[in-house]
Amino acid sequence: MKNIIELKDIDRFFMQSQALDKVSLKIDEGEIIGIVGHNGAGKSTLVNIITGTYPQTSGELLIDGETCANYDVFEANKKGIRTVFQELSLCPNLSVVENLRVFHPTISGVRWRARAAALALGVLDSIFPGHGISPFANVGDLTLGQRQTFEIAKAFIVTDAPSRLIILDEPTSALDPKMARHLTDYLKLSKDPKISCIYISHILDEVLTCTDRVVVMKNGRIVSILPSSSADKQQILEQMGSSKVGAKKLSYSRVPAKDDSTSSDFVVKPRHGDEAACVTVLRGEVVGLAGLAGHGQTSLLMELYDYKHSKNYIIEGPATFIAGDRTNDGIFPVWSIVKNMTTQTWDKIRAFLLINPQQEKQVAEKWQGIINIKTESVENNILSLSGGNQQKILFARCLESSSALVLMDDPTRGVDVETKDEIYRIIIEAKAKNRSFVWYTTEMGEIEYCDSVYVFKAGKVVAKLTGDKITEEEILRSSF
Amino acid sequence: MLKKNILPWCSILLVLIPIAILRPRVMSYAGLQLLLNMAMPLTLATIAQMFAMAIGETDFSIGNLVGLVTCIAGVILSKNEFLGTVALLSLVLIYMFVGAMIYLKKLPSIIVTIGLSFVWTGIATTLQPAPGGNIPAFIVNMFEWKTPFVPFPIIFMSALALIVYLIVFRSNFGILIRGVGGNPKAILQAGHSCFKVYVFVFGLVGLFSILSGLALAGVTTSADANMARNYTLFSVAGVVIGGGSFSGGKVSSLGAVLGACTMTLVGTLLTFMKIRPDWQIGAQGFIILVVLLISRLLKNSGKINYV
Repeated sequence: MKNIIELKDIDRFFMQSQALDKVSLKIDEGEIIGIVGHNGAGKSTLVNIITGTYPQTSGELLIDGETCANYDVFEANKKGIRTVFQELSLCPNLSVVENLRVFHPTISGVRWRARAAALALGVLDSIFPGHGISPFANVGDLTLGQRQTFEIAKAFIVTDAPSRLIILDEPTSALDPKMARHLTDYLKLSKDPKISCIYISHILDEVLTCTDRVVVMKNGRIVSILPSSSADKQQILEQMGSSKVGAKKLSYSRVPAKDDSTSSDFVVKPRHGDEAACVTVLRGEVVGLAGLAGHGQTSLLMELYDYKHSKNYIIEGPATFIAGDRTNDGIFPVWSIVKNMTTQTWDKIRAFLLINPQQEKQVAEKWQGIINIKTESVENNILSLSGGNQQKILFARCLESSSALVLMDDPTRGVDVETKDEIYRIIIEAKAKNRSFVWYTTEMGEIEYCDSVYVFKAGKVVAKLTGDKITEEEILRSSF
Repeated sequence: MLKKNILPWCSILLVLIPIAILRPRVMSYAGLQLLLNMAMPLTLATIAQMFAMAIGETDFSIGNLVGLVTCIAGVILSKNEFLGTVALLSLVLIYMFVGAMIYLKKLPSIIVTIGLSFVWTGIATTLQPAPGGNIPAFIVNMFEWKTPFVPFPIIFMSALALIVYLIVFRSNFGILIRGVGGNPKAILQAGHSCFKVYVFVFGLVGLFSILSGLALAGVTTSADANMARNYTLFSVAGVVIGGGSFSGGKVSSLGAVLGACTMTLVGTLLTFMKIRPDWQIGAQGFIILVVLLISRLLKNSGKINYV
């Protein structure tokens, strides 16, 4: 079979640190390659070299067997290499069709809007039936999941420009399980057989079901390339070098379900006996919010956060909030790690009216040990940390505060497996200290750590699961 | 179109209705012509500001530039049309260069343009130390045009709103302008050049400021370096009343035109209310704040949906 892109001994250095080390890879026409590896394994660097965002330090990149001089983003576009970015790359103030036009300037002339709309809907309908996107809506008015579906669909829309290799970087991170399955089904069954794909995801099952080969990366190197059909999850995890393979599940015992009506230890309790708003949170309880993405989980979190004005709940506030979209809602990008960690705890580190830098640093260093942050100094900028570590800083920020209630909006979005385990450990430890959590999660595995789970559908709670009833099947049954 | 611009329409009615009540005769052909004459130059300046704000930048030298253009019109253009045209065109080129620098060197546009504003006023006072000058007749005549049925300023501003709407909302380039204001990274990733957008947009800012200066010279028939000082802030307020935002990407052409008219009419209203001139500037500021506050409250009263 003809291969469309070939990497030969690619090295890439950033200052002194080596991000890629002699990477060689061939991708055939129509093939779907999965790339797995921890944060910092070199996946993003590899993708950026293929997309021409920056050049390799040494080595060769061949497209259709030819070396490309002056290879850059424009050249890659011309060759039909497209990327679906992990950080959404749409203009929120433009409509769906206008965003499409930005990427496909060839859609032009009279009535281009109608044609762009037809193109967009055609592809969206074929990949994501039931997406509910109006092509004339502003992208900013779509839900995060809808934006992601459009972002993916955009890459598969073919105009005059060729589309030969599509790179999907964590495409399902903002999708609910149903939409994620639509995507993997599409890739496996009905994709144009001439289009190749690179599929990067932290969710191993997903990678294994929809790809032909899996590339396992570690420390800037390709450790192995396995055929997906015969590859074994355990084997891949071992090769990625996870420190804890095997008994991965943290030991965790659920709080025995108490009788709500008698317990007086509520952190959140409904104001009226309304069926649609019936969430209760006890002290030291982890409450999960499940269901399809965008069905009212975030609005509940917002309502609990705004505890003084909540119409439906009596809440022991103030609550603290951990955002899933950390770049926009979580971190202060120009501040140091210390400053980012202590924003909610100024009362603890204050000497009269001023902040005491020593105390501030003590707090930060205490948490650095607890949550295991590898950095030379906590005075470094927050952006010097990887995404997963930034997320851990947000946890430290919230847990250092005295709030009884921690609200989490899909906090492990785009975080690698090892960091996820650490986050679960942090939650379990905090829970033991009587902290309560309300946890909106899009990952089924995380419901394991919840004492009770509320399933949402169309803005309402449709099921409350406790104890042994908290299973993936029960949640799916309630959500569909 | 009407629904989207409901707030600027409310703002202008908020000042137009009291004017109509205080002076009913204003609502005639000649009355409206007089009332809105001074709105034309401010509208052009507001459109210039709108382009800058569409990509998330702000130009704080517009008022000074408009003053300089009146001086060029009164001193150079009246004597030597070729030299005057060259002078005006070179201002556009300077603006394009400034746009390039702001993008390439990541300079804050507010600071750069505040710096520029001193340069403009310096040149203008050198050209025309005291108000006066001799504005070429063709410019003056253009703004004294007696159109049938509808007063010229209304036709002028409607046409302007339409043309700018076509540029910003219907053209390929308009999508890119708003895209750069919304998410420049996305525009870069799609393989477009943000650099070109910046250069072109700042060229448009310069061009519309120059048109504003010529209009002001035509309407007032005089050249004065300091005549348009308050245009800088009025244009910003006009864009914001018109529904635009500082963060970029969100603008409305009709909104900007209506915003500029509102800003002009506020001054007229105060004169009609017999407010002493030394109180007028303060009162003007107060009215603008009230208009903005009301429009914001209206906007926020809609239910906010979280995803």
